[in-house]
Amino acid sequence: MVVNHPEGQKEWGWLVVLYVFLAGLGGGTFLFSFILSFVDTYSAAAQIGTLVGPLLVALGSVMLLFDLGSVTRAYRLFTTPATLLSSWMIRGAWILTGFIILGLAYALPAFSSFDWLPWEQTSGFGLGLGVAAAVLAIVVTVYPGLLLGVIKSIPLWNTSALPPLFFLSGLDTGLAALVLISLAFSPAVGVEGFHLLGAIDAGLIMLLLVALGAYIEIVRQAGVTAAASIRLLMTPLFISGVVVSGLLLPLAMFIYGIYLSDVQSVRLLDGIASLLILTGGLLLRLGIIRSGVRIVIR
Amino acid sequence: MVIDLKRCVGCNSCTVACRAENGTPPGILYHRVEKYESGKYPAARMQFRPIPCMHCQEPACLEVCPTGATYRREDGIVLVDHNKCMGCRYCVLACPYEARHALRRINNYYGPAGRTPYEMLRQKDLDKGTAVKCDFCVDRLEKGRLPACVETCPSQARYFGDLDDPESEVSVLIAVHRGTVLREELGTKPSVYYING
Repeated sequence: MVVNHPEGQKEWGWLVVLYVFLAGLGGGTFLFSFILSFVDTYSAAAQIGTLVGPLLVALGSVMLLFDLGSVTRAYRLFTTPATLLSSWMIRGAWILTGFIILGLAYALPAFSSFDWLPWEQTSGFGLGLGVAAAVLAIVVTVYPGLLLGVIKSIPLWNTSALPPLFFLSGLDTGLAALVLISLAFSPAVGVEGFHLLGAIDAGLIMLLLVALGAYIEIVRQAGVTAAASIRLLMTPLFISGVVVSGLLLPLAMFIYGIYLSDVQSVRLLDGIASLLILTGGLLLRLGIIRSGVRIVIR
Repeated sequence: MVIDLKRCVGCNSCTVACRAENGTPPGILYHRVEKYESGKYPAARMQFRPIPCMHCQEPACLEVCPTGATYRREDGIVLVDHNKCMGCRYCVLACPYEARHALRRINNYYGPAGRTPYEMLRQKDLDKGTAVKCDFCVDRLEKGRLPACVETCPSQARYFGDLDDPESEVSVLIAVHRGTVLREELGTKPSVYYING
């Protein structure tokens, strides 16, 4: 049996694509910023990053609200805890809300206009907030993969290979965002600072290439509908935008950058590579969401 | 419900009866008949499969619903409470039988003339932006009548009854003709059985 004219699902469109992208990006940005905020070289850029992360996730959540058919009933996400036992969407709503609140509570005291807040970022309580937000950031980054992954009627999504893919891509885009933020603090970061970020990102891209390759090949072998979805997914835009310019090219640029010692050239190279990674991350999610073909019933 | 595919001629009377009964707006079908080819030439033939909501015992739609809008009555009928649905469309994607629709807007068939009094009456419980589906004509059942699709079927291919009663007509038909459900492997346990031709 062959699926003759496969069509991707039409229910979830751009707003969900943007949400899935922003959730991964925001979670990844916070996670890397929180870890690197303890390294002096990056502390200024990381401070901005811990604020940007929750804000990006909040923006993504707003996208989801706009996507609802009846926004006025969205409050029901928080008044029906019984569905927490079964639905990943409501679990996600709580996780997102928790992350946004804890992330902002950790990040804001570092800014002078919020010094009226009764806790310090460096205090035990502040650090506790940071650690809790960092744990939630991991969940926020993985969660879109679970939201889509539990839908049995769409084989392209219904695979355990999807959450790790979204997680790694979230980390990759998050680190790219931190590189872009670091551009504004290049005297502090310095050429070695950029080299380290580039090396971490190169490593992440390699992991991501493995995860993406495994995902595509495993889904391609998972039945006729899954194979049809992969054919829909592999558009020239996907191959050029995600694989070539979103992964391979930035990988080469980061590795090449490690051999440069002029801070201006490294900045330029890492900056362009990061923009390409962000574009690739968005196109990856667009492709996967658009190409979700439903199983044939009979 | 039991649908005898040997008797189904693909006339779509069930689909039309469903539309008339529920006053569904353009683009929204609670019921459809899929046509497909089976076998190879010269033994190829056209087959039909009517698809209402399967009213599953383990509904995929209910499992994903974040607001508790989708619920299953004691008698097994799966319904949507439109006052609770926020229109996330997770259930529409999760249903493996494509039995749910997102009611983005309520269009009418007659352009500037607007909706007819009949449509307004039938659509009074519809809420824009929510998920809609077949309810086994629950209003009719409560009055002791059969679902519209069952009552209408000119080739009498559809049967409706209590699956929990082993002596009911539907249970006997399933047992005698080895009735099957769609996509059994997904574990949704549909309440609509097919007798295959």
